Amino acid sequence: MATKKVTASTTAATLVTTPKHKKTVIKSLQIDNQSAALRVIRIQDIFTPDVSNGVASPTEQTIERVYVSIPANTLRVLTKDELEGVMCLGTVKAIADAIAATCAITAGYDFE
Amino acid sequence: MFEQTVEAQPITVNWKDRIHAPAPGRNNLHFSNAFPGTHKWAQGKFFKVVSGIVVDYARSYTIPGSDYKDIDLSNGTSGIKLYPENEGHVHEILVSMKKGDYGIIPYIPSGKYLATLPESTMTPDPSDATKKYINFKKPEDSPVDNPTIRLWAIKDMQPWVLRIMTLEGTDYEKATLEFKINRLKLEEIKRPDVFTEIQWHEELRW
Repeated sequence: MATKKVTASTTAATLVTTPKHKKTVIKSLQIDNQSAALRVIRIQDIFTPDVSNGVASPTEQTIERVYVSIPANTLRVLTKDELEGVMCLGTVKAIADAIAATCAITAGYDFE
Repeated sequence: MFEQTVEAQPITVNWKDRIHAPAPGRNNLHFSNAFPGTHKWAQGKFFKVVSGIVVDYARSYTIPGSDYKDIDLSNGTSGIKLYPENEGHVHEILVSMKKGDYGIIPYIPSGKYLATLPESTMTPDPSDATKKYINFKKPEDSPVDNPTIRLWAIKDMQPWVLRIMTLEGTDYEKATLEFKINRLKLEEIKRPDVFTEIQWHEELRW
């Protein structure tokens, strides 16, 4: 399992770039919010679909896969069981409700 | 007295045991008489495999749920180019699917489904909830570790088209098809005792 850490930001930060012929399975999510306020963290799955019968000109999609709120001075860990079924097709990014350098988001993942 | 009963172990035949190759492998082929005259070099003739090589290839497509996309396997402009470029060559193409909420329906040529049910209305129809899954092959039907779907292709043959269909209830799915293209070089021979019959696709519609 690989891991990647980013800090909370209102600009989506890349956690994983999913290879072409794989899907990303998020196995763990650790959010250590040492900032002074509650933080809301969203995990986004960003990709552009292929042309299909129903969509002749596909546009980039941003699908929210996980939504977590973490109180101040709290470490929250989502395990494999809690993340069961969370699978991403494209670029996996973390975005927060505020910039907080002391709020660290670490994702553990595998490719399938 | 001592007796220990041991359950019989099933013999698993892997895809590597089923593909064709030069002798001592499965190496004799016959193209049926139903192949059209445009493929005269093959029509009704027997061949042995003199050389073979397996080339792996994969394609992935991210498609919305309840939607479909047709993939042309031929060397045509819109095809993904899995066909041979020379007469005297045949490609034995194994098709497998990674797990996901989708499946495939084979057509040859484009728009003409390979297999249906005998009653005239029972044909694959993606717009009909009761008929969209006729001849629908799921990933578990041909898994990546042991593909069971085999397509034959020769130069300039009509295109095999695989319709990738995603299930309803899925927002988007990434469908990954993995191909093992067994490229075979052939040499014409007299009729052998044992051979694999390659039927023209029209013979499979009855």
